[in-house]
Amino acid sequence: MDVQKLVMMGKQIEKNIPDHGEAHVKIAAHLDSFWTPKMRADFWAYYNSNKDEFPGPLGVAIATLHSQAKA
Amino acid sequence: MTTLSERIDPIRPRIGEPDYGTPRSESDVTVTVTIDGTEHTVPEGTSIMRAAGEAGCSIPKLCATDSLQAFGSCRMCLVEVDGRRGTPASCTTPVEDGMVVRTQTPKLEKLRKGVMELYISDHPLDCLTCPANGDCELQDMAGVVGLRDVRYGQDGHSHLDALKDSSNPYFEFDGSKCIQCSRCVRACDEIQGTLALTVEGRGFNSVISPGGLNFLSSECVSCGACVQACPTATLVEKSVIDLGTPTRTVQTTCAYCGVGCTFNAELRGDELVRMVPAKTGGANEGHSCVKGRFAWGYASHKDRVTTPMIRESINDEWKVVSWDEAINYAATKLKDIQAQHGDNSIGGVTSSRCTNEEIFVVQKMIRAAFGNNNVDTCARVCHSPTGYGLKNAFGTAAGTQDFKSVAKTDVIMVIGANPTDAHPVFGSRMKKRIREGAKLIVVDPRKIDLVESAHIKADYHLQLQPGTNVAIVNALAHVIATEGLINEEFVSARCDTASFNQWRTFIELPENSPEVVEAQSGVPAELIREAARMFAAGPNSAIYYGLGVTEHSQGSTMVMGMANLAMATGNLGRDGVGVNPLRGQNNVQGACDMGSFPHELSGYRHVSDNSVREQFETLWDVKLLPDPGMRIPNMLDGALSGEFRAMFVHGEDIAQSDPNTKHVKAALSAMDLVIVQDLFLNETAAFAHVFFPGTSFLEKDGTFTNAERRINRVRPVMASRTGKQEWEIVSELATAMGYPMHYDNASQIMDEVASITPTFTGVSFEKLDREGSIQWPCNDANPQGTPIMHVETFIRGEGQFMETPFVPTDERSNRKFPLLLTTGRILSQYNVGAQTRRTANSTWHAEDVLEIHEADAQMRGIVDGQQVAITSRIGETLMKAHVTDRVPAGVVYTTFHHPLSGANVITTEFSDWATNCPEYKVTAVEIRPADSSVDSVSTLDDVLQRV
Ligand code: SF4
Ligand code: SF4
Ligand code: SF4
Ligand code: FES
Repeated sequence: MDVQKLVMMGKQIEKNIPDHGEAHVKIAAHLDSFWTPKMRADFWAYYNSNKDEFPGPLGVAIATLHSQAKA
Repeated sequence: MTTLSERIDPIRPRIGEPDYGTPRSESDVTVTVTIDGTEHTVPEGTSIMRAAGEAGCSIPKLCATDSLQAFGSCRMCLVEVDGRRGTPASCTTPVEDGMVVRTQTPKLEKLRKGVMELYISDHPLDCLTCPANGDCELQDMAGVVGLRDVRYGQDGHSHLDALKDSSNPYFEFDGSKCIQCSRCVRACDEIQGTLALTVEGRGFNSVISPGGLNFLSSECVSCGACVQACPTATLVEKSVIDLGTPTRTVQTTCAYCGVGCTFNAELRGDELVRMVPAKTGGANEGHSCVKGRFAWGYASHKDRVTTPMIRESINDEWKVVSWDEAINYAATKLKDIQAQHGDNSIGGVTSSRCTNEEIFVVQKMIRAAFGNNNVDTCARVCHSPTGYGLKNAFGTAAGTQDFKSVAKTDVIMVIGANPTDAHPVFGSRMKKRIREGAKLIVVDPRKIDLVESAHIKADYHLQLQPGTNVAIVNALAHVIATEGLINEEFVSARCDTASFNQWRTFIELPENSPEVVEAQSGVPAELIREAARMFAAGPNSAIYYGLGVTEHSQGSTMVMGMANLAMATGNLGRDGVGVNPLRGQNNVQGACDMGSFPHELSGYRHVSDNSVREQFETLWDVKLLPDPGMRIPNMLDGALSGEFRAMFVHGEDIAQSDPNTKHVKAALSAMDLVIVQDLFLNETAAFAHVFFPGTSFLEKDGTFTNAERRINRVRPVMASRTGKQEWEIVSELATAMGYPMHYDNASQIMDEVASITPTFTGVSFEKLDREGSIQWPCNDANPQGTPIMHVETFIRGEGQFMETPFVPTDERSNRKFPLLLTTGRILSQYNVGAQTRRTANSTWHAEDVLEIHEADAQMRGIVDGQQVAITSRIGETLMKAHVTDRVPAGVVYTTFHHPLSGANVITTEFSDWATNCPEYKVTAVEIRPADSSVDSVSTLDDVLQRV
């Protein structure tokens, strides 16, 4: 899949999950529940070289998933 | 010259359901009455006629039928009651405790014969050549009362010169046979709620009139209720005139919308003569709409393909082959592609038009034989946000009520749904309740019929800008929270306190106030406040919603917003309330229940749940993947990037129904193998290499599950025209791929579903055949099913409030595309029109049109009926303009039933954040008269070439 589409989807998810300090957990759970492993891996690869683009909970979420070997 | 009795006899037994003359009383109190010497106990309020009928002593009748309130005009049903003077009409006289009734006495016989004589003297008496011969209540009653002669002669007024009205494509009106019983008028008023018919004139001169020139030009919506109610051949189906009266019946379920009406398919030999809505149907209780009642002819349309076909390339001609060859060809190709590109390179789509059994087998084939979770369903493009939102809030992905519940509702809120067009039989139920006095709030950018039509007027129409649903639902909840209207007792007893407190803080923020939302939505703040107060006051308030909620970038948020509203006001867990999705397709609920989503097994259990997956692995003897597979948009994107190479498309036309047609077609073209299973060579089949012919609903054996979770039987009315059931083909494909799958019949598939799905454990064909229908959950805890959910506790335990911030869609109107296009359905057509366009329903809707407000039309020099070009940043298409005030300035609207106009040529790639349900309801467009730059007779492909 086009990684820019994954980025767009990720950012849309981030915008729609209110953040009270725990949004990264909810976003990670969402990506884990609904994205294929390849989508998560592709997104992680993009994130890893473009971290500045993800200052919010989305970046934390994908990093968390990676640390759990889910991305 | 024949005698009178020869002309009205012989009477053959009528097929169909018994008619007790008046509706069943719902009272819990019973009374005991003596009828013709025998005691009977019936609910209070039951008419003498019904009590007698139930006791087996049928009373002659003409103007009464049990789908209508008693009218008491024909005087055929007179009885004698001890202690009462005269001979009261049994249809209008309720039984009383201790009442003693006689239905058959010499006096009554004489009176009835006299009444019948008058009717017959004014009737053509061409019974032997009449299309209703043997299926005519007048004929039956003449026999029942023993009429053998008519003292007044048989040359009464009889309206023999009355004009026939054949304008409706499906039924005929022959005024010469009318007995002025007014059952048709009352059916149109009471059941359908269209009020299209009136009685004009008086006495023998009275005639039934549809208004306008004829039925076709009148308000009539061709539901067939009047035809069904008519006791004579005055209103009769043209198919009965052509084919003769039916002789046998098979009960089955309509395959169009999510109402799931039960029909008696009436046949003569093996030929289907008509579909008559079943009074025993749990969803429809004897009513129907024009689609289910009449638009079934597509099943035998000449375009139907009944043999399997293959081709190497989509540029080749199709080659007709045997089933074995087609299945082996497909299996070999699928395996080759997997060998070359990996297990994940193939997948499939299940169809909401197919039976639960077919769907279950398709998703099983994908998970077990394909070895991945790349299965998705067309619910992706309609109600996937319902699944997401309701599961989060309540714990299960389904509506909370049965359809009957609306009869107890005091305030109905309809959001983004158009029930009178898209769910017509439920729409009629709703209109009946509104006529009885229920309040109505409509939230819709468009002035749907419910906003104002015969005897219906919405109390509030919140005519919002497309894309601002969430802002509105938040504003409604804001009023409820800040004006002290929260049902604190319900919330503290039933809902999760922490989530509620967090939500309350959020919803009370000024950004959610009606005054702020007015600027976003265009709805005056005061209207929002008043509507919110009305909803909170209830006492029974219910939300009904459709695709106008789900097909947005915040579809899932909106579903959760509505769930919040219902919980905050205590409107869950009893009759008359609830959050009710009006599902689009006949089995979209079932498709979701059966495990069609890539992340869920049947019964909405995530594939990552080890204990659930292990149960399936043991039952299916195969290892399943614990991660979600691809959704339809992922598959299409994957096709373009080369990672996804083959797709099995079961009964769907994704090239027409999915957004951004150009993108979909490019993706389909990029695949190595597309297998389509369908009735027709649809738009998607143009990109297919294998075509498996499908079975129509008239040939299927299985079940559909409607929007109220009601599992209805679908029975084969005729033999499969392809020689196979679709689940057989899928099983054979799985077997050919190396995963043996075999079922002797569809019932075994449902047994397998029941064995592994907790909400279905009590379901079997045998039980469905016995009970008629069952609403899931049906298990040990609820052996008779569950009409209303979350009664004492939510499925998830405590109701979960969710914060629902309004995030405007990125699809905005701008200088280049200043109008917002939103889409919907029309009554006579269904989805992409593959079925309805192949019936006479096209009489009402031969093409999609674009509704545009007068101000917008004038500004662009567009007049009513003119061909216009509609351009979005994605593409351009052509349609005729219809200038109307149904849409506000700034908004245009169209339907998506015709491939030529192809509304999805212009819809965008935006989708719901949680489920990727496409944002069909908001596309920024510009409209201009079709001119030299777009040829008004262009084909869709021509247009596509240019964009
Ligand atoms: S077909 Fe339906 S809408 Fe038309 S006149 Fe008869 S009852 Fe009314
Ligand atoms: S058309 Fe049929 S139902 Fe209507 S008044 Fe005449 S006989 Fe009765
Ligand atoms: S289309 Fe829907 S409302 Fe109409 S008959 Fe079929 S199930 Fe009923
Ligand atoms: S059936 Fe009772 S008055 Fe007609």
